[in-house]
Amino acid sequence: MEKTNYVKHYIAGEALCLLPERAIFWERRKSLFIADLHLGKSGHFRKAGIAVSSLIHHHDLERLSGIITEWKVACVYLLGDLFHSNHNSEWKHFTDWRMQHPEVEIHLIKGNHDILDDSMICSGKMVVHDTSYILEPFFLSHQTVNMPPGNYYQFNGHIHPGARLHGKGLQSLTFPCYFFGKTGAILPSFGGFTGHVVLHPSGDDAVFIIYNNSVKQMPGLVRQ
Amino acid sequence: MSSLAKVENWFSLKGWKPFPFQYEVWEKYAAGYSGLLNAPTGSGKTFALWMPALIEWMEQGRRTKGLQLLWITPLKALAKDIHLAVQQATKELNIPWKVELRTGDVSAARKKKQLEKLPDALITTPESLHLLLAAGDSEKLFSNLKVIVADEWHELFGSKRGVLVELALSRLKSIKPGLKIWGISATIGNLSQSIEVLLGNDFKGNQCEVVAKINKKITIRSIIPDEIERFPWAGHLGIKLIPKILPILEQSRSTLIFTNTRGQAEIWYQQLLNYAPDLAGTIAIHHGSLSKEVRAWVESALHNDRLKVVVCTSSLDLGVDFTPVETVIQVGSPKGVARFLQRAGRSGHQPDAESTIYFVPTHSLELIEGAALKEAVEQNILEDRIPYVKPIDVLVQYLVTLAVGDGFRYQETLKEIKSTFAFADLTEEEWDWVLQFITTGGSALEHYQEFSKVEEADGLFKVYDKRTALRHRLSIGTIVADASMSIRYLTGGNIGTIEEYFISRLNPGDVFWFAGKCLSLVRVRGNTAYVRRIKPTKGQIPSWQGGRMPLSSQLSAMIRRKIDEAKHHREKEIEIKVLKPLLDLQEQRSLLPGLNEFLIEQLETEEGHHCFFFPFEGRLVHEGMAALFAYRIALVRPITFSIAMNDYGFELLSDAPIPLEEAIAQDLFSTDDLLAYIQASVNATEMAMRRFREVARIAGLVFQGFPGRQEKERHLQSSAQLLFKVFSEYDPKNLLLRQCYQEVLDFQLEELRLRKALMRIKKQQVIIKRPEKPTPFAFPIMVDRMREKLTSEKLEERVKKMQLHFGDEKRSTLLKSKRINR
Repeated sequence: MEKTNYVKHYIAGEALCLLPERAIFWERRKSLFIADLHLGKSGHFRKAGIAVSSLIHHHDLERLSGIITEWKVACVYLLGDLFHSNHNSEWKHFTDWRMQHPEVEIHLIKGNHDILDDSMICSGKMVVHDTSYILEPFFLSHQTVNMPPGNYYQFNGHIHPGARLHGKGLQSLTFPCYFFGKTGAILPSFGGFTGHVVLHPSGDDAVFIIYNNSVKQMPGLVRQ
Repeated sequence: MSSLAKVENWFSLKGWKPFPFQYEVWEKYAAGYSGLLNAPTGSGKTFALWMPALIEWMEQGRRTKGLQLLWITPLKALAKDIHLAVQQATKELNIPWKVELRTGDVSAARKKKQLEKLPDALITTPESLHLLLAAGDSEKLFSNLKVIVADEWHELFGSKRGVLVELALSRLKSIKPGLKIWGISATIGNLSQSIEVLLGNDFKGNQCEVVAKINKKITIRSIIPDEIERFPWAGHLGIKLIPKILPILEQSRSTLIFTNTRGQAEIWYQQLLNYAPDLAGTIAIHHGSLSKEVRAWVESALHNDRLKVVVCTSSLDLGVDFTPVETVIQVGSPKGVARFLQRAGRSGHQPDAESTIYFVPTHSLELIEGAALKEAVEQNILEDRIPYVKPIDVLVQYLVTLAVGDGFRYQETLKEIKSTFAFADLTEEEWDWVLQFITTGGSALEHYQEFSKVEEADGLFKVYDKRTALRHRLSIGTIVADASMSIRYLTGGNIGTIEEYFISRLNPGDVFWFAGKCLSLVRVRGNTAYVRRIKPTKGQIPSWQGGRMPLSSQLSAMIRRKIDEAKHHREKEIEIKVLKPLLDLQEQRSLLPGLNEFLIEQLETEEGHHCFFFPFEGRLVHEGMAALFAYRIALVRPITFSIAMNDYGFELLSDAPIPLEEAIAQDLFSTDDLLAYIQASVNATEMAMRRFREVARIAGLVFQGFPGRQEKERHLQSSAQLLFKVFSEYDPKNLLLRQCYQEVLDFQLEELRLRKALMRIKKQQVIIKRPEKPTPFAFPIMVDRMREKLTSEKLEERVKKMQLHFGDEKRSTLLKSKRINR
């Protein structure tokens, strides 16, 4: 069946599929880029007495499984903030999930939230990179960093970008978005228990909003 | 000498004589009554209840030690004031009482000392009282308590802070049966209900209501524009009338000018200085966003007769005695009679002084309100305060407070809680839900592992975790602050707080006015905007978001009556007489609606097809009614409306002709299935989500951080909005969500009032007019920019019509987004 709810966007001649599930699929390398899962956040909150169901993370991982199966993903690149904070029982849920996809290679580029012990992270059976990873022609890191010489295009997470649309009569709506600048892009946060921060794009940026299970590039209006 | 004689003697030494109402309270108190004293501020109400407690102590053979009197006030500043007054009186009567304050302003060391040995009397706030309950050892601390006084009860009653008082009292009554409870309240519409709520529904002692018959004379004068024809039909600032106000300021020793918003206060302050530069040095500004220090300075300068004019907002509605204030000026509609009277009472603060209040209309039609206020005050028609029913957020907070303190038990505490008015109808299911929410997190156990807050052991619910306890103590209370940034001088010194949204739009070097000062933004660091004071020049005035108060139903009804009087040429007040040319124009172009008429005006302009309805019921009711009518009309024929409203009426605007007659024929005004229609027509989810900010904060789901520490607790940030979405999806039965929807109906849409208004309209004769030009009634609504849209369009359609705003290069870098949601 022909899928129509994603958008193809070309960077450095590579076809990238921007999925409504908040992940980028790189066709040629059968690779998936996702950022900011923040697993274990609900557990962290529960430990502090704020009752949030862990189902929210279960659904996130089900969504990820869905993408892996549907697009026959060979390799997943997690652009940081996989696990929200200190260890809690939800880590085990992740390692259990990992066992279901032994054929998939998973890379984690650590984010500021990834404070789990390395020994613990090991149990996730991933290739772990401390700050960045070069995957020609792309440069992957959690936060924006200075790139080594070379003509790379950077992919980041961290920000949880959102776009605010304005209509007549003071209407406005905010949606999570993909944000493509001149030298790099920011991925929407993948985790269901994450909010977003409204970014103010400039003329050279391409913004793709995600709503109603579809992706749409927004035409912009330059404000006077 | 008898104890009473000693007190009388003290009065005469001061050159006073006790008022009859004071004697009455003393008598009732001595006879063991509880009750309510209805007396205005500045009437001698404090001594009416302080003295009998002293007399009681003097009369006792064996003198009690420990805390005997607990005095609850709504304001820290007020607590300080009362403390000064009663401490002096107590000392002069040679009573060896220790009288102390226990509020947020008292040092931690002092508070700790108090816990070791409580003073004989404590003056405190509802929040500090709950903190005392969280300190534990309640049975011992309160074992000698004789009386609790809830001062300015009308201010607390009808708010969640009032519920805090109800809950604390339920606990104290159970620790100390036979405790006397007294309220002191200004006049409100439902005074007797306020006594019931204060005493609780299990109260068994004798109770009474004492009314201070003080004939405080109030004179209301409207400032009348010279040429009503040239006075604006719409607007909200009122600065055009400043020249007429200057002579009043001149003649008065000290004047308070009340405005309705903080932004308006800033503008008035600035404009007054423009018109009368001589005022510099004797004029000040006071509103809720100014720093504590600035406000305290203004209050004490006012008290000490050093200021001639203070421009303020509701921040000075109550509290401190400003004896030098001779005149009060209200700019724009006060929206309610009680609020207007409260403000009028800020002048002539002595018991028998006359109060004068000037009313400054900001647009022509507002003059009607001047007349309406006069009659309402004369007839003593005052608004009710509606007490909260079952605010689950407050209950959640209270139970954790008890658990942090001594811990609580199922049956005992349920019984206490059900004795309050707020939770009288709490069902066992709801109670169990709340307990589950604070002990296990939720019902689906496997998804709520490792939850820790309140633990149950041997039937005792208690918090053992120190961090949880600390976090909770810091979150006690129901006042939720805006997301705001503090403003400081580069050289040091805090000026106040401002909405982050406003600052984020400024660049370094940009100029704005705040606290009556012209400031230039230097830089933003973390949560602080650093500024430099510069020579006055043009700059932006910040606006603060926040609900606009609707016109009360009492004042609305009075306005309808005044219009009816004008229609039948029976106008009495000068305001209406002056307004006559405008009202005649309304009659000529359309109609002045009488009490039995409901006016609808239809008009076609370049903008499209307008339809104006004039229920005169206040903007909140109009908001709900407009959405309801728009929805029902769209059932006749698919159509999209843009909606605008003010306190007098509302407008539906469409690009297509509006099938009004058909809609009326199909029962446009019906109250059948009203709730279902409301839910279908308004975006209740969005409204509830906005409510959730407060609810989540009170219930302890969003933690505001430790005081003085920049960073919040690690990895525990989340927005209320996000939690609302998560709960809606994964825990839809959450009672806190249900509470938000209920609050939207009760307080946002004023469902009860909406229903009553519809019933009234159904009995009225509907008159549809088609004026050729906008009428004086319609014009202010037409120019109101705040438009809501009611649409049956799909999200896709809406997105198609919307656009992304691209900023200019300079301020659009990603780095600009300072707050990253981690």
